[in-house]
Amino acid sequence: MNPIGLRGYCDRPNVAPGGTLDVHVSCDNPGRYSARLVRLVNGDLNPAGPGPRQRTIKSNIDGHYTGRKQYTQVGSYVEVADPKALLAARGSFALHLFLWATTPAPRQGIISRWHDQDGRGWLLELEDGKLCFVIGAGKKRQRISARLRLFPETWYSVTVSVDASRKRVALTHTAVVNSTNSRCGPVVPLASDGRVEARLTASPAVADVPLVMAGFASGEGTQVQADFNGKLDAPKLFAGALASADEAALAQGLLPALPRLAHWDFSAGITRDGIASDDVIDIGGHGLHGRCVNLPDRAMTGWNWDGREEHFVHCPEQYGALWFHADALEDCRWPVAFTLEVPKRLPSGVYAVEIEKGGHIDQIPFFVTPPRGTATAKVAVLIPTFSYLAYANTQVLQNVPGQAVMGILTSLDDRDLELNVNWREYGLSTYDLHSDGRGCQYSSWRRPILNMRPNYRHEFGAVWQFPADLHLIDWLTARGTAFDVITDHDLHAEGAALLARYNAVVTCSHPEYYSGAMLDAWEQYLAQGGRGMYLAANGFYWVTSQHPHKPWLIEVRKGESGDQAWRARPGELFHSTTGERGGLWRHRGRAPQKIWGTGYTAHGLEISTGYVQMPDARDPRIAWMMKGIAPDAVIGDFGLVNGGAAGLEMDRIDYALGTPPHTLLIACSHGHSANAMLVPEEQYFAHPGMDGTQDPSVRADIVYFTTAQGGAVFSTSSMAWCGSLAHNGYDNNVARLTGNVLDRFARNGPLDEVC
Amino acid sequence: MPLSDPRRYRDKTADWMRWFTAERKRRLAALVTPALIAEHAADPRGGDTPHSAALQEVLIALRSAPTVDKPFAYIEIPYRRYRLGRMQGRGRAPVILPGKAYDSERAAIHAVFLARLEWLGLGTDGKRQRGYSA
Repeated sequence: MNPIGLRGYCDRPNVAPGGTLDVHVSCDNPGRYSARLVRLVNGDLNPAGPGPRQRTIKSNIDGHYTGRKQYTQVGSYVEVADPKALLAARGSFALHLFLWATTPAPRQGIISRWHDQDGRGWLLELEDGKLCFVIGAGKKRQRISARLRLFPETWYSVTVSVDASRKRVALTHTAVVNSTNSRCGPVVPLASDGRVEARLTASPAVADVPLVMAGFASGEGTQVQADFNGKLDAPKLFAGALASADEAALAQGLLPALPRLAHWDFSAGITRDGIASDDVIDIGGHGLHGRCVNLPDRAMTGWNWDGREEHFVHCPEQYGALWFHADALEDCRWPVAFTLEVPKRLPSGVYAVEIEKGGHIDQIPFFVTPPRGTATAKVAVLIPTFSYLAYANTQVLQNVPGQAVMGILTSLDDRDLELNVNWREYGLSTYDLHSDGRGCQYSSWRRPILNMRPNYRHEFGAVWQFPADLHLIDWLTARGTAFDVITDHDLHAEGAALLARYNAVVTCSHPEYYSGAMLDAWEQYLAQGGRGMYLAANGFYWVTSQHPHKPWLIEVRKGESGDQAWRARPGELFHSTTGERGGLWRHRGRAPQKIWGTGYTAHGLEISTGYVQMPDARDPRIAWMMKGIAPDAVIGDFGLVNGGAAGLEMDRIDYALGTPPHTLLIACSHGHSANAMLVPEEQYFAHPGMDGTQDPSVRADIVYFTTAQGGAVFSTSSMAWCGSLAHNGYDNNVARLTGNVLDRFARNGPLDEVC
Repeated sequence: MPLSDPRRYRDKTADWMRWFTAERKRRLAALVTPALIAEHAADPRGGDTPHSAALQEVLIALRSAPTVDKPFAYIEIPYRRYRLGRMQGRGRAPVILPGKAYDSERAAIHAVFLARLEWLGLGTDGKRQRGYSA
């Protein structure tokens, strides 16, 4: 194994000429490293293809820098600044919260105002599956531990009461299970409640640390040990000790007649547009508001969720939980290593900051758009940055079902192994499970994304997404087509006005993750004379939200159906950051067929094939498109992606899902393997034969239709398509068909209507 | 008696998986023949000739096996040099096996195939020494 040595990230994916880009770098060993700006054309190392192509660009970052290993705070938690030490719990006090632990066994902080290094303050924690309350003043500490262990994924009401006058301390935990809120229901005769009481022998010293939920402060600095996995709901502190009747009342969601020091309501702030905020509101009256770090899952079902309402917007009082994960990561928060000043005359394109130290190289990609509000070409390539985020740092290596999906015995490189070993410091993708089994629903640009590198080959055994999309950039560059580069981030922000600046807009190979605003933009553009080329498959699939205040973040909730790496738990399909329903766009009335004629039908990840032509290929109205392609030719039975232009993931027409009635079906792929499978949303009754050797729906369709005002849509419906463009020195029928369409689409003037 | 200690309970699926994997292993062992191994050596991916039903069934089992200790192909130099490794689970460095290097991915993948057969006790050399446990 060859450790990767250094890695970096930039603060956002897209920048216009004249803008700036902050770059963050961490080196395994301290020392000097070099940096430069490069323009990327191709990255695929496959010797059967054109090979890596890039060019160094002079810029202000040229030079050497001093690097070191940067600290990354991992794990989600809430911190509450307490400068007046109101929560230091001097004298009598009590705390209460509802708790649902997913991995109760290892040590993990639940709520604390605790300096772990010195043992000062107070701490409610889990250890060996049991709740423990610790009071400390340095060496003088008291620890009171529950006798019974907690059952996982089971809601408990937890109280701690410290009576300084009577010198008593008590800890209780009471299961509050209903039919829907916990893993098991009321039929299980659970007897895990407990109450322990002891003589109070210590009092907490005041430490200069914040109150922390789902962790504790490691020391005086800002580092937090945030190892809690599970949900918390409605934590609160009281000035005074609890009576036993108070403990029972709290377990029913009632408040005792004690003054509250703080009472955090995680649902406070929910609006019709969700709760896109790190704020944690104190409704206790002292204004001790908190702040989420590393994005605990928000808008989660709480201790009192009864299953009658699935949308947190309609029932916020039952969505008072935050779900914390010990391996959550929103932002590495490394210091800025240097800032790239993007030259004002830098052409739109795909670029990377290249850093090098001791023979180790990392390339940090980003995308330079044309100057804001302008186009510098008639063609735009739309870079699917939302989808890059969704796949960022996938951990398929660890995913046994993932290996079965591939249909191959996998090969792995150093970056795969680095992601496997040090996964916490890189964060997860929306294809991964947190260490407690919950799917990862947020993904961030602000971390090194090792699988979004120009020469990375996916564990699936083929280039995938960013390096695959460079096949398209390489082909356009080789044929001399002038094009701009725009990104999902631009499209989400600017809408149809961005696309309207171009005669033709071309997708990359896998634009799977889409916001509603981006779908709206495409529909408006195409309905008003725009021309779209969908050189891809499994596009426009998962409902995706961009965080309204943190554009480097997306949210995805998978569920109900589709190619699901995980499934949202009941009642948790709606996005916290926008309030909209997650899952497939297809299930929200916006199947991809309505825009592109085709939509996701099958995946075949190990072998790609070619397309056989259908009768519409000889329709004289599209003779211009088929020029140079023999009527009996198989289209694309060659290519760098598993040997064909039709493969990986594939789409097909479906009139019931909205394929326009006047769509021309030009060609269909044929000859897929037994590992090529119909996707789950296409399966109703499961039955044998849903594979590429037997099922006629396992295929990719090439289609064409015209839209109003001289617009048109051309879809190839395969992720492997662009991998065939370079075959035979770019002289092949995939390149010819794509070029015929692109040249016609790019020309001024309306296309002839084909209805 | 009410339930008071979660440690007393375990996932009984493991019982079924032990039975299932033993039964599956017996079925798979009958499929692993020199001819099947030669079929894989000739075309590990099945791109030239579709894999036989027997090889397909064996390959699905090999891919679906649990992760820890699972042999895989390590790309030492892309398209030029590969080695065998064993996965160790999330957070633990895989073990890269010293010894033979392979100059093509195709050769390395066939070596992984053989290594996984041996790992699961399905090799044809009579040394079915390791159990196949979920």
